[in-house]
Amino acid sequence: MTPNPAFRINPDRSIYVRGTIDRELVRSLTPQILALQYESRDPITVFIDSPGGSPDDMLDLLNLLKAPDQDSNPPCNIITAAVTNAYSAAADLLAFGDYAVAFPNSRILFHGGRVPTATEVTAERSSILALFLRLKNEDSAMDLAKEIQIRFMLRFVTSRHEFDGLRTGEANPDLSDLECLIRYIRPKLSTAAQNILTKARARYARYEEMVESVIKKRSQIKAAKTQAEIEAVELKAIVDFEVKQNKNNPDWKFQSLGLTSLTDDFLLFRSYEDVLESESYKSLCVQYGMFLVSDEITKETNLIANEDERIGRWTDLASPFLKPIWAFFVALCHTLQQGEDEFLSAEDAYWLGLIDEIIGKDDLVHMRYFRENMPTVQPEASSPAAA
Amino acid sequence: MKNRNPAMKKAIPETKHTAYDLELEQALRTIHEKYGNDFQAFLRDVQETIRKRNAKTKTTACIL
Repeated sequence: MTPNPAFRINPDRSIYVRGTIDRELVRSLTPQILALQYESRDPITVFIDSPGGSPDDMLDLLNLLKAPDQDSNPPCNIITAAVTNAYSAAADLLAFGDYAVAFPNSRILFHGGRVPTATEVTAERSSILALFLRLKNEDSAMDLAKEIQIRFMLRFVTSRHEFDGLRTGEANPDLSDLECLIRYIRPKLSTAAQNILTKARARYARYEEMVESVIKKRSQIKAAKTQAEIEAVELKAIVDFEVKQNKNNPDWKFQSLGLTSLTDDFLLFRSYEDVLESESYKSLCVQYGMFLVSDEITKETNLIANEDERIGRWTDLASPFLKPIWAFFVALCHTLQQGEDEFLSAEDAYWLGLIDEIIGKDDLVHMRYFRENMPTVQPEASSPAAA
Repeated sequence: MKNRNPAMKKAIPETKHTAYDLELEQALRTIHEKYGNDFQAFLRDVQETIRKRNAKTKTTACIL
């Protein structure tokens, strides 16, 4: 076992994010960050004890931490560590670390966006603010999902060998991987985190139905269409979906909340599609695919010499397993970003994929173990991927 | 306190998670070759390694 500094907190190369994250804090930390970066490109640990603050200032801090140097060397690896509290924007900072750890008794809080208002709020202004906040929450949730999807996928892949036991226990061999994962995680969570899981499950069910109905309508397009025409078909499918969903609610209409849901669903659908076509999703499929298919298929696939073809094959093979998990994770991130003050423990954060490791918990699988405890196995010479 | 303005959205810098991570792929491949899907077996081996290392450190400290 060789300690890997990219996955270990180091007070000798660290900064402390304490108190509210604002312009003043960024200003005061800037000289320290620049000095650490100038000294070397070794990892920097960011210890966090903060009630949150401005997301813009948090992103400025993160961008500064991840800056390249004048010789175009890659950014320093950033290890974030929740020492006591990481709330709101500080929770985002924690999750956005290249490697995120939490001390066992730390508390983490994600919640929906807020807009402080200095003036009286009229009905017109309140609806604009509500729309602004909703869009902002959607945006933050997708950012979060894209950044940390690898952690939740790792929870899935490393838990999967337990699923057959769950299926046998419930005498239900058809229980999906996602249902097994939810059942596996739930007992490990606090009541607050269990509530988040339940809400995410309901949100996911709605997504699935919506996405399925849009894809079905879109597949009926015969002739070539412009992007705008394709989006029109998608929008019409979502209109039909919304009407169907609310057919038993006589008060529901597009004029009130319906139009807002339509916008939300359309933007969600577009982001969902973008991510599933992204390079980061494909790399998840390549990295985790081997744990999802048979050894024979793994060997066959790794023998494909053309890299693009091999990645494409892995994406096709892994997607039936990973897509539902990924979609659920997106629902989970939306639930976290729209929630109201649900405090999470370090263990909750681990199981929900928000952090990589809990300090001192050696019974949980995490990335550091993979990097520090690689077994010695000779790679097969015939496999181009192993070369 | 959250107040991000979508019109002035600042880019989130790319992390190791979003970059293609060849080293991770290699590590996972090696683990898969030895343990298959049994991550609990991998974890047990890691715990055993840690236990032995800690015992060795204690012994060395006692001798010193």
